[in-house]
Amino acid sequence: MTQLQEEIKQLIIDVLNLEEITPDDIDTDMALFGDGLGLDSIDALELGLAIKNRYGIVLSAENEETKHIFYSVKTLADFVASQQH
Amino acid sequence: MPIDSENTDHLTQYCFVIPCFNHSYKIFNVLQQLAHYQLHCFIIDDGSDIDKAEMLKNISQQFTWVTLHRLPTNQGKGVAVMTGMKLAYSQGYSHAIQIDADGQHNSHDIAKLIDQSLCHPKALISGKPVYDDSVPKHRLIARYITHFWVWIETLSFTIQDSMCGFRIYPLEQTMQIMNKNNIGNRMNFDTEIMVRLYWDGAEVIFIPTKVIYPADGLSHFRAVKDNLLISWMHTKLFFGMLPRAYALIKRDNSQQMPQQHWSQVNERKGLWGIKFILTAYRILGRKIAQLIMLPVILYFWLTGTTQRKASKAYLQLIKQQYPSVPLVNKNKLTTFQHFYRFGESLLDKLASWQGDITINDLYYPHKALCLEVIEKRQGIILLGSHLGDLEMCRAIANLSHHVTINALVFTRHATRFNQILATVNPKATINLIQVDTLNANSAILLKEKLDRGEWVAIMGDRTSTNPHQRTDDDAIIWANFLGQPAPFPKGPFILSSALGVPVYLVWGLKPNGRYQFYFEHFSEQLRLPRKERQQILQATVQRYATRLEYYCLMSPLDWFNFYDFWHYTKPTQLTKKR
Repeated sequence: MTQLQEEIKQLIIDVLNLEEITPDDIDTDMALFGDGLGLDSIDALELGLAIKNRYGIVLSAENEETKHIFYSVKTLADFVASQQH
Repeated sequence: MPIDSENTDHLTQYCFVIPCFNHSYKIFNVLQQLAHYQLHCFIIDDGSDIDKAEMLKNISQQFTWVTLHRLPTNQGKGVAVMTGMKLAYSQGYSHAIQIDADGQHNSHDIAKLIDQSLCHPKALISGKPVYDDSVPKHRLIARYITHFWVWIETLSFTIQDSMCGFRIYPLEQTMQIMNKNNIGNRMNFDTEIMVRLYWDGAEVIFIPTKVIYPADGLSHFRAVKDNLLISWMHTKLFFGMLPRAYALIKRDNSQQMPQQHWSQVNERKGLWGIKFILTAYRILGRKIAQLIMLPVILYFWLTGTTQRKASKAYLQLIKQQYPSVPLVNKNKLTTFQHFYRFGESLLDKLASWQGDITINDLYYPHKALCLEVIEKRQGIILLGSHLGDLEMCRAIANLSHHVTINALVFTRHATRFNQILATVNPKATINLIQVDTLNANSAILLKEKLDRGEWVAIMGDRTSTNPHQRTDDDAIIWANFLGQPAPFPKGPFILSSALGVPVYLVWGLKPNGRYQFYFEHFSEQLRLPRKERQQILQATVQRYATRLEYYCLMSPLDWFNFYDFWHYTKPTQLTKKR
């Protein structure tokens, strides 16, 4: 599980070109958007596409649910794990 | 059928009026059905042939409650009904129930009409025919044309049927109108009296009723003469409407206010008009559709104050750039022509999906580039706008080049219009993607389509209609457009960047009566690196706005943003204000 979380942290850094940040700087429970890591709507689109490409998972059309899944590295990893098994 | 209303005392002031011309064989049955209402009945023999008149006289004598009045010569249904109403009024009746002599009206429904009349004594109560499949098509078309004219003449959709001769007239007001005006004597009577009662402020209430067309029906409708009379009547009523226009519009608005929220009313009204014109186009052809579209556009032009103001302000800005307007006659740059062009574009959409406008009708200077892109079978983004007709491009691309273009649409309203298009060609809606906001979900969906080599069209000039937008900064970017800063949406550009495919601009214009299709390269891949994100986005949007301006000046009337484009109003505020 931690491995998947680390993988997602690295993915976020690579996809979004977060040059000055290392995986250790991202807290697993930290909010990715808004006050936390401070990602914006462009990042959300890019991240969504990257997650889909890497893990081949389909996100539900329900907006609220997506927001919840993308809340933090932890929620995202939990969702990816649940889809892979 | 019993009459439900309690105030049946007033019923004694009701009577029947039946115009009869040579229908003596059928009237016996009709009278038998009326008997149990125990009301006085005036039959007006409209100069029937001698044998028929004799027969009618014999039949009438079998019913003590019937008064027969014979007109020496045949003068038309209108005269017969008016004669009957005058007789009834002179004998103290307050309401006349008009019914046909040939039994086509369902006498069981009389009770329903009377009920309504007792509740609304000043209203005109009318049957509204419900047809089954046996009705010939030409008959329905004729009815539809009349409906249309009546809507124009009353500037309202209140009158749902003006030809059904199954009615209850409030006699006092009707007599006043008959005394003041020269009402149509023949088949034009029913429509004219109804429109004039409406003009005079009378409420009109409709009761659905089944109309029977007897197989051995004897119709007195004379093809040429009566059609001429009816045309003349509509001309007369149309010009009668003009001085009343303001009052009629005001009345129509006040009638609808309490029933429905304005947005629903407006949408419904708009769709009715569009649907009607599209139906006319399909059945009667483009020229006739354009002709009847004219008064509809006049109506929207007169009533759409906000849109008219926006059009005027836009044309003022265009005026400042007249030297750069090469193709269009400057005298034609008026708000009415602007509205008219919009109406015409609706026909163009329909025509192109129907296959009536083909690639050969286009001026298509970038055809080579377009074919080259198609050859590559690569997914691209088409950045469109509300300048010109993207729908036409989509139709032609599909039908001529076999390219699938998915269009992203934001509002439900647009989807409804496209439902109408779908009746012409189901392909029109298959590739419409309705989204509320641009988010990861919609991006993933679009990415899949692009990966398959399909094209995706996005409008680049409308700020979101979604009221849940977070902040101004989040959604828009200001760019210089026609000499003034205007808000443009960030979304389409962000989406293009995230999807990472080439972006092309597309325009379907009609500057001088001929369709023109422009296709140009915008960027190979829109990159928005984190550090200079805002600046690059700004520059990109400005580049788009500049191209938009270029084509705007090429075909100014193709601008279909009928709102203050240069002013940013947050969707939430907009809703509250109205």
